[in-house]
Amino acid sequence: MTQPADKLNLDLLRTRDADEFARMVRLHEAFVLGLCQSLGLRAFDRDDVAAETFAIAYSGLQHFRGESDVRTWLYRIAYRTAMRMRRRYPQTALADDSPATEPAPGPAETVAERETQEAIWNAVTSLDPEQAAAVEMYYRRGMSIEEVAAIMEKPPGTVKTLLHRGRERLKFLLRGLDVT
Amino acid sequence: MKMNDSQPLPDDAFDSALRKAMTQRPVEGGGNALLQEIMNRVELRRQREAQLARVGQWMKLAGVAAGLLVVAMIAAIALFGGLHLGADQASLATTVAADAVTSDTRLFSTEAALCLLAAAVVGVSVFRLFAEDSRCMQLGAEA
Repeated sequence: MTQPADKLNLDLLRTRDADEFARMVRLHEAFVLGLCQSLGLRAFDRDDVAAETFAIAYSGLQHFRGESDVRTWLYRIAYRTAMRMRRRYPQTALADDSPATEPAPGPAETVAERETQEAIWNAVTSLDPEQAAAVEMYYRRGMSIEEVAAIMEKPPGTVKTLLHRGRERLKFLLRGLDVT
Repeated sequence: MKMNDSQPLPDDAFDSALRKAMTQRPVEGGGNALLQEIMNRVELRRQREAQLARVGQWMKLAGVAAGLLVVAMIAAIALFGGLHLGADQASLATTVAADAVTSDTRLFSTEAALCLLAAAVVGVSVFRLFAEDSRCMQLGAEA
């Protein structure tokens, strides 16, 4: 039986099947790298966090009890690893420290819009790490408050507070800009 | 301001702009090079775990062997003590063996017996240390 494209085969993962593990990396590397981006980690630190996250997950797969969704479990490891790296290297990188993989703005996307977006990305990077992580997961990944709370291992009310304070801080940081 | 679980988050124009900007942010990095690096790390970790498991097994075997050696020594002392004293009862021989280690009978060097005992204790401790180390790795991974 074949698995849906976004669904991982837990039995295969538990046996440390290399192909399934590579599929897991492919499916979830964007989350890990994106989280590191919002936390302001430098390009080589992001790769380090991603590699460490998946290496830890690989070691733990045999013992994964399946009490939570594999995605939540993996993202929790990623969150902890990224936060540990962020604490170790508090200096942040700006959003444009490495070349973007997307093409330059086309005719429909004005330079001003692009500048506004980059200002928002940089502002998110300068937030308190927990606020930045909550903003990343809630706004960029479209996760529910409950899922963010499960990953951050905090009550939903605390996540809401983090998001609220993050928004207020962003409004302050972007006050000279017409964001809307 | 603190928010409780049932309180809804605001959903205004700023919220929409923030969501739009964040979803349009391109992810930098990743791809084949990262996958290769991850697979390399994973392979290294797998080799290290296998190595650790092998060392653990050897330590376990060494611990068991040390334990058996101590038991064999005591049995040998009991046998030798029994023969030496002409005693034909096993209980007497065992008593003699115990005395050999603890008293002045000197059928078997007390120091040697203590060394054996110490070796067994060290063996078991080192094995437990390895077992604890691998358990920590498991817990870390599970976390």
